[in-house]
Amino acid sequence: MTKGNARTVRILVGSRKGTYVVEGGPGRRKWTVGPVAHAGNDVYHVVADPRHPGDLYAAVNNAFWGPQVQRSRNWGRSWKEIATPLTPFGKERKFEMSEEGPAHPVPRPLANLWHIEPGPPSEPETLYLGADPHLLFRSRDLGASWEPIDGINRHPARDHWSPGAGGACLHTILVDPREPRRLYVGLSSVGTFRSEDSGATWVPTNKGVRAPFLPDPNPETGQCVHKVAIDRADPDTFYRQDHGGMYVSHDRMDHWTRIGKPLGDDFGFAVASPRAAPGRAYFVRLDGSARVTGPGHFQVQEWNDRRRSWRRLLSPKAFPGHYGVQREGIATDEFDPAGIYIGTTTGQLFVSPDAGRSWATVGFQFPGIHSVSVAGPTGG
Amino acid sequence: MAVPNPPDAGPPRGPERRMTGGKPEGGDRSLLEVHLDSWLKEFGAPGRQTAAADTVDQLLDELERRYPRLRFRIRDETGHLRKYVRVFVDGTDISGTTGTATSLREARTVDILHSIAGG
Repeated sequence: MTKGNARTVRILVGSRKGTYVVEGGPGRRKWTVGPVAHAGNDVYHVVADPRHPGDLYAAVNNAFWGPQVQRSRNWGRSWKEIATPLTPFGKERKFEMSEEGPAHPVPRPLANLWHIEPGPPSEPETLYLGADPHLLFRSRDLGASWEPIDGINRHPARDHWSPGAGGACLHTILVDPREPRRLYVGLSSVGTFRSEDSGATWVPTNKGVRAPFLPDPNPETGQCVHKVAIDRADPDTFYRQDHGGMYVSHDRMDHWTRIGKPLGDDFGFAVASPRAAPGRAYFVRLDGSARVTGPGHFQVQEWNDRRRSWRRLLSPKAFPGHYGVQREGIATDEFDPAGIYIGTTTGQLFVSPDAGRSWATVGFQFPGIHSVSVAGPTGG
Repeated sequence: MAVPNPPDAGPPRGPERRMTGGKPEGGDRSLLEVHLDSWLKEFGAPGRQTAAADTVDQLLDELERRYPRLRFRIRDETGHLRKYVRVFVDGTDISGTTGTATSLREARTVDILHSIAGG
């Protein structure tokens, strides 16, 4: 593994069996895979903190011994456990059975950690963390301690929330780059919410997103959002991969418009939007039943929001097979043209260094990949 | 197969539980022989040791006192054994029956292991 070269690009891979840091140069065609860390653990997310170059955070989930937040301060050469939040409902537990029965269940402990989001540059010590069961936490001391964000954790509708197949995960956390008090979250089987006051209060933001699996297909909440990406050149615009299709919003998630219909089945999990390409978003469409790329080859769909059109980025002959991609499985970098990075559930790591014109795989068979993110030469 | 703990298996933990000089109140007894899963070395706990405790909960409290990084690894923060942790008292799996409330007054050995799971 190369040491802190200012031109080094790092792909951070969270897999079913550990964490990998993959290093390359700005050409983004030659890569060196570092040794595995957190071996044997499910690592749902690994992310760099652009405010503190060299700092990485990992959401490490151990089936036997529970979750841990781990941090590296040297680009992944070594890792150390830091504070892991606990369920905020512990003191309210009721071990006795009451006549209400299931309405008052024993509170669940914190299950898997799903997403770690560094705060804005103006708050250099802030981190956000999303976890199962549908919990949001904030640290104001870089992970030495965590506070539950009660505005969403104790939302009045919470009793009606239920988990999706992947659990009750809070997997999307977005901070408006212009206004750090404005936050957005995405919760599986619940939908998206926006806060204008640093998380004190939240409003659901799911208008226009269908929920075909519910009796009322157009509810206020209950949509199963899979992932949302913000358009960093226009932070009022968001791209959403939902269980019910692919959507765009141009008004801070107040309204959503389905864009995926021309693709037919517009199911999927992952979406990303690069800084260098305003109005572009990348989706990996999956078969809604099999949850792998349906046509028998690896494919990426590019949405052009200005032309309101779709483009397929790969030849069907390039990578034949059925590939799965999870919600954190796609990332883009800070270059122009942007690099696109996609990890699959069968352990291939696809890289395009030129906004989708050419593609290659990193020459290493990873375990099934949960998450991909990129730390660019500037650190984030 | 993992068995969930019964709802009453997890009395609250905290300073109210009294241990005197490393021994439980109530008289002298042989020390328990405790065998810990080798995977727990990651959290600083060696595989074999002795301890005194009246219940499994008390034993886990003592182990967490000795090895603070064990906290929330064998039991979660609601006080229950984790789903894939099995505790054997003199060879009997108590994970799905009396759980951490199990008495150790007549016990000689405790094994704390992970269950067969994963892939």
